[in-house]
Amino acid sequence: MTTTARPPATSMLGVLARQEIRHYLVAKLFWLGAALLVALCVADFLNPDATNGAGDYSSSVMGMVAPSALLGVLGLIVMASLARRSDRAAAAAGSVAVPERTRTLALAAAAVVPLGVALLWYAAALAQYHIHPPAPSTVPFGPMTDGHVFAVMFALGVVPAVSGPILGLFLARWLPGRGVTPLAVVLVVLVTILMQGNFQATWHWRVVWPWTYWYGPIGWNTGTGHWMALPGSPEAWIAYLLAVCALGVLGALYHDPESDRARLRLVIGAAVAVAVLALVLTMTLGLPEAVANPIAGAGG
Amino acid sequence: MLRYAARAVPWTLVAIASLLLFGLFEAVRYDNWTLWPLQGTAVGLLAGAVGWCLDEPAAAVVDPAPRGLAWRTAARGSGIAVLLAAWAAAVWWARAELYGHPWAVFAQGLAAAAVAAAWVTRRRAAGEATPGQRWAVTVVPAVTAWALVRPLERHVPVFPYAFGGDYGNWTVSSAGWAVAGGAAALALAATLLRDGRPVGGRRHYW
Repeated sequence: MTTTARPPATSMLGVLARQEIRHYLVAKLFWLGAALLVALCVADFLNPDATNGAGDYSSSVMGMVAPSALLGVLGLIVMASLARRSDRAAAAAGSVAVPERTRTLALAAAAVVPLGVALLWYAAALAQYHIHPPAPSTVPFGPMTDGHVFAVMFALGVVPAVSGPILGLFLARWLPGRGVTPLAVVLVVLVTILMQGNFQATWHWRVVWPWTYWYGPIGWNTGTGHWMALPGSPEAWIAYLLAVCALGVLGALYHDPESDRARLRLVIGAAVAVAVLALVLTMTLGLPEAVANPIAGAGG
Repeated sequence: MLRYAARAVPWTLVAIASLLLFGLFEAVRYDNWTLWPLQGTAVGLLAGAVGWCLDEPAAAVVDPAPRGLAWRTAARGSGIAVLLAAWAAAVWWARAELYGHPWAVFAQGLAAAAVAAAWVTRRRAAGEATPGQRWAVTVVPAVTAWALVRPLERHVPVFPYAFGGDYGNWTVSSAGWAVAGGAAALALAATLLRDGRPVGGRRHYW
């Protein structure tokens, strides 16, 4: 009888993670999103006279939709494709050469690729903010600080670059059926756009949803022309979003029937507790109520 | 043909996509100023769903059968017809909130469906069994991202917003969609006239 020595899980994870990072780096959709993001950043930087929909120069404080859509939404698809590719390779290998949880962790590690690009975007956005500051009719104003704005930009520009791919990984593990990923994209966008703070009824609890605006020319179609800052603490919200990301990875790991599910349940419970605590802090700290910029925008 | 269509078309996906199309246009109708990106999202969803209708998971079995690709595509066209009917009804439902351009929005859907049918059918003729899945997985998020960000909207008005101007010229946009749709229709006809004979001289099934 012969026995096959299996390499240590940690070294196997490292090898697989590097491989998945390489796969992510050569994905066409990733490059499409990254190229468009760079083009938009350059165009925004070179055209400081350009205005947003309400007619005020907002610098980079409203530019988060670009990385979240181009790295996050497209990342969801890239990661789902990588997961399917990994599953096909595992199936072709026949015997269980590498446990599913190791492959899942390796795939999650590949999220460093969009994260790196998003951090570069964040640095460029901060540079633009300082070189071409936003108009006084936008943000920050009143009780808001620069830190508040930077936290929102991080939460909406950098974190979605990771949370999108992790959602793709979660869906690939639990709902691998035909058409699920594209339909999930549409549903996510539909709910997200409804939670952008355009409806006053959502202002206090909209932070439950991971992608939602915190300020802007909210309700600008009403013709008031004033920018609004919505209630809550964006710093605590970042903690909430990271906890949700961790839950996504843990949920994907839980799919492996050979994983230590009892231990995973404990860790998931702890992550849920952290997420709930961070969500409560998000709702209770920071701005207690929505505040309007006293300076009317050009749209008013 | 109807019996074939009943079994071959992924009706569940068609039904979900049709309902989602209505949901997206209902949202646009509710508040077109802030929810307008959902109009572009709907175009992407329609294109993706058309791709699903034309997939043939059992290609290895049906490709050598006497029924040619044109016949099978026509049968699968019933699913596309349902999607286009849903598209037309949704556009009609939201017509008052489409900034006076319901026909342009309707044409975007027709053109997107034509492009989807042309590309997926061409890949089917080349022997690929389920190109629609690959198509939808790329097109739906890419179009959605484009509709959200609207890059270069002044110069490349894929999804014009509001009353045009800096948000993209509706006439230029409609002309672009018409060209894309017309070219796709011609390409589709050319592929179907060959009736499934291999493109490039080889077939592969996966």
